[in-house]
Amino acid sequence: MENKDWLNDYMSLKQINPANPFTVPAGYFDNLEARILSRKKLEDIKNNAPEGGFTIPENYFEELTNNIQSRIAIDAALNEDSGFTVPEGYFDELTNKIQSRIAIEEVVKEDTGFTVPEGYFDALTNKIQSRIAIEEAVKEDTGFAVPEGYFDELTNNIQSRIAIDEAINNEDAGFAVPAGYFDELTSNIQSRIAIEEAVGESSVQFTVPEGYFEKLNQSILNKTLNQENVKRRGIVRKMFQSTAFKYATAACFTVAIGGGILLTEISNPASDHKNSFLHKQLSSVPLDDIKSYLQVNVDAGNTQQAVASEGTQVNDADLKNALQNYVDSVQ
Amino acid sequence: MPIEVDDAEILSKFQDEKTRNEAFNMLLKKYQQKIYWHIRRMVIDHDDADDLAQDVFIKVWKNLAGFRSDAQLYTWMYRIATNECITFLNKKKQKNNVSIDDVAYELADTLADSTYFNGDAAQRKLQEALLTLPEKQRLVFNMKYYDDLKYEEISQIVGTSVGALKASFHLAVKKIEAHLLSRD
Repeated sequence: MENKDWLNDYMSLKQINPANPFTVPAGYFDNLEARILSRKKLEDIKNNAPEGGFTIPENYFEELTNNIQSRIAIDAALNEDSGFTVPEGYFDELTNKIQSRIAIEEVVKEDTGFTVPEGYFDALTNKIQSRIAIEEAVKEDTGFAVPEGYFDELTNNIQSRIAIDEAINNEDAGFAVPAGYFDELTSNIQSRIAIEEAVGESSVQFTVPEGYFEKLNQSILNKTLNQENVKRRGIVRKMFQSTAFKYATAACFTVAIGGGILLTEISNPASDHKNSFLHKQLSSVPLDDIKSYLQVNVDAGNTQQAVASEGTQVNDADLKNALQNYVDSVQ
Repeated sequence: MPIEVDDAEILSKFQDEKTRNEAFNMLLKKYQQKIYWHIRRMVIDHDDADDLAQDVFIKVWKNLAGFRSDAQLYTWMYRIATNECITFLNKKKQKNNVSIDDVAYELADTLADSTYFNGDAAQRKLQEALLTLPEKQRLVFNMKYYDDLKYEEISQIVGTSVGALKASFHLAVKKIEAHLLSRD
């Protein structure tokens, strides 16, 4: 042990207890050896297998430098303002996308018994994107709208239309139309519309019988295409609905009634008297005058007896003359 | 009480693979506390000292096979421990981006807060005084004052001549003395 006489020169230091003032946890040195030996074993394992049992692909580190440099170059190119950009996270998802595509193509190649049209998957992405764009356009408030379920039925409608067109174009369909029928159909319909509008406008001045136009086509057809059928069936006229018949009937009734009245008037004495000269003359004389005359000048009994007794047949003409003379004298 | 085994026997057994582990166990039993305390007086904190002590013995295990007997086994181990302490303290400076003085203040705080220090006030003052010294001066003082090593042995450990060590040591003692008196 080194001599500590040098402490005599440093009294303050010499007065301090030279014992170790530091302490350790209880039992520290008892297990320090074990811990160091455990640590030693770990070091041995590390020395024997520096990679800890892990392996790497062949030539990994030789290629690692090139891979890192390529990645750096790509990142630098991406960061440059080259005008080209990629969506966020594109390269992160690219690997998964490629792997998924590979898996899909491998499944397609397998003989599973199912096939798809050639180029189906290549066109599928574009189809889906187009459909999405269409649906988004439909959803947008562009002011345009389609009936509910329109797109769902559109495919069937198009296919039906195609079938119809094919049927029309098929010569062996058994149906035919006149030459140029469809070409003239539009103008015919427009003419018909103009006529009906004209008829409607002139309804104030011109009228047609009720149901006229509904019967018009049929009457035309009866006279043309259905002429034979009409003849075979015979002509059936409805008399009671004929206008001429109505007028004729009315005229007959009028004549009959008038004739009857006339005949009745002729055979009736009262009616004869009413039509005589005497009646016409006396009808203008007041009745009181006639009564007063008769009271003064004529005896009622006498007149009857006179006429009846002598058995004289009175001539009407003479009687008239006598009465006329009287009237003239009175007037 | 640690078992005192001859260093030659340890080295001899360590050369044989069959007895290498036995030799290392013997080495551990003989030197673990010395190496630990040497480290502890430098880094103050027990946990730091524990980590460094294990690192030292692992390095001893790895390099003992190439040990040349031109030096004492324990001086060789002390050198490994000393270098580990200096490396640790330098890393502490670089990590915190502070000077050695600031590291000293941090160690002083560790000492003040340490639960594994039961020295009296004088001993605490002494440790505080030591923390004001440069690292190598503190090393020399610790090995001289606490371990009673000879200047020649210290010279092999720190790689400094005996004369420089003596001068450095006395300079350190004066500083400590002045520090102790100024606190009185």
